[in-house]
Amino acid sequence: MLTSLLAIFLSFFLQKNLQQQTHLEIRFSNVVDNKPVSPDSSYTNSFGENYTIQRLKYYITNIELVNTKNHKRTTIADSYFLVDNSNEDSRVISLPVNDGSYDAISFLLGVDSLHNVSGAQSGALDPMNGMFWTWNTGYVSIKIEGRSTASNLPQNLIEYHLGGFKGPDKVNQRINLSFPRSNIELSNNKTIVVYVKADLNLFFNSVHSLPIKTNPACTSPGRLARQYSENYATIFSIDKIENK
Amino acid sequence: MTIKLFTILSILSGTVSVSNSVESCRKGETAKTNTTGTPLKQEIPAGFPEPVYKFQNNPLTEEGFVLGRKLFYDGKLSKDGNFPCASCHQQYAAFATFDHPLSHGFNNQFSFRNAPVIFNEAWQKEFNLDGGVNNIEVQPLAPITAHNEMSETIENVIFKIKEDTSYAPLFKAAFNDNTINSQRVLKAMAQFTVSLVSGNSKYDKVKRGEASFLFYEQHGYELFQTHCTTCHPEPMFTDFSYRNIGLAADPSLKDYGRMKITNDSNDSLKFKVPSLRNVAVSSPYMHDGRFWYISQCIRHYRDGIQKSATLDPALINGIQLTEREIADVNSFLRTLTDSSFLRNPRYADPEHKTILSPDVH
Repeated sequence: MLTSLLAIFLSFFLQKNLQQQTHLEIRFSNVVDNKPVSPDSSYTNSFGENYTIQRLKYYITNIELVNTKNHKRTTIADSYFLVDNSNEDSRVISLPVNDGSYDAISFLLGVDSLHNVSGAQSGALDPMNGMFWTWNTGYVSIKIEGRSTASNLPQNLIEYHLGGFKGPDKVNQRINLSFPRSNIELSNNKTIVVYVKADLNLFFNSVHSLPIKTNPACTSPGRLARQYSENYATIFSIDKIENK
Repeated sequence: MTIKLFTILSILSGTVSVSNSVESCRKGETAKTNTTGTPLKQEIPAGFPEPVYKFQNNPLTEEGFVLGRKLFYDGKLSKDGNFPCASCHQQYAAFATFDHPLSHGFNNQFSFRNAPVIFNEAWQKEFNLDGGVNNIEVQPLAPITAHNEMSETIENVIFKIKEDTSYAPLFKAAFNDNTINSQRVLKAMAQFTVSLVSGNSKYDKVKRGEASFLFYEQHGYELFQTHCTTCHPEPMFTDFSYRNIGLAADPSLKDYGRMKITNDSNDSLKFKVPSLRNVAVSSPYMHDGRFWYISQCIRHYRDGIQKSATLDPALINGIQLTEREIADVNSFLRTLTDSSFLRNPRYADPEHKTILSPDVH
């Protein structure tokens, strides 16, 4: 009796507690030249190569809120998320955050090295999510699979599974995105929504020129994966910020 | 006031810090797996160093061990049910594959390398002959998903284990509730494999003053200490390093070892130095199982070294032993056989208690 009474009280206070938390919501939209990524569309990259994207998944981890003026970085604990383009819910990350004034967000595309050596994990980091290399332990940071007439592989496949967390083969990229207006106050239990756009054409051509014809696939750690990672570090930008 | 009351209520009902777990289903959890059950103590044989495995993240329990053992012997972990871990890792062969250079896998395929022994894993930092796996907990994923070994997907393994009603009570006993996920499967399997400890051979008994070497064994031991301990130091009989011991790559396998993992040509033809404990029962030898006899291995160091850029500096002049000396080193190596380990019913398939084991010592 006493226990159930306590449970009722507890759930009430828990709910109250949840409602009273300020939230940051990050909404990812994956596009190619402002056209949403969908398995039924086809795209053209800056080399004039046609391609499709059947599957697109990436890890967003170690999210931080940044105030560049006072150099304060607030790390959001246990922030590990797998964005899967085919799953709308996964493209929305909602985080309870501490009140404060911020002018940028920052996250790691990929999984930090500690979590690459920590053995069996669950949730977003469950190896069942298909983002884990079993033969050379480590998480894949981003997976892009599709087809392109520029590819000489069977079925014109294109396949980019980019991973590697050690030494020169490290592909984890910290991505810093400044808010378009100056500081944003996160307070009063409000929810701020940050719309982040990822333009996949930059994956092939930004820091490095990597035409599909030359590299229709990259599925192991190494120099090429590293080059792609320097490209994908540039694909994200903030579209807009809204109060919910 | 509200906060205070909340805290008090939380403590009273045994539920603390739930308020921030809205997203817990998506979070990556490293260390917390609510283990429950009867605590087990890791066996550390006399003279062994401290294990490297982080037991605090996966506290050993009898129930976890029992669950892990059942999984190790369960064919459901493979695509067609024929290849449990134990099909390539047989207790009587110190958990290597008895009598097979390469092991059998799904659909009449062979493994790429000679199956390694499994014991004293809690002292290993890296796994597989190329060291590609960095934590014993995720080691089983490599053979499970290899198309020529168990040829299964992790998803399907979890599905099949959930379907098998005999598992739910074992998960509840080991982890507090019936949840079955890959993390728990892997943690339980690690509990079994790190518990496979071999440190009770004749050699160990001699070290403990409970037995003495025969004349030839003693002579072999002295030769071993002079010629072999750079790579196979006591008491683990491996230094856990990767070395090129001058074996030419098999032209059909084209296996360059650790280079595949590091992308570094300095690692070409390097493989992990195996422990020599139980070496007498784990034939055939080398990463591709090319040698059937211990004496062939020792002669390789004398006569067979292939020079290449990455050849281990310790082997540039080979190991010059006479046939008599080779026989004595061989005698010594046979004192590393640990019958109590090879026949321990605790490590055997709980559904088939018979253990075939060579009668040694």
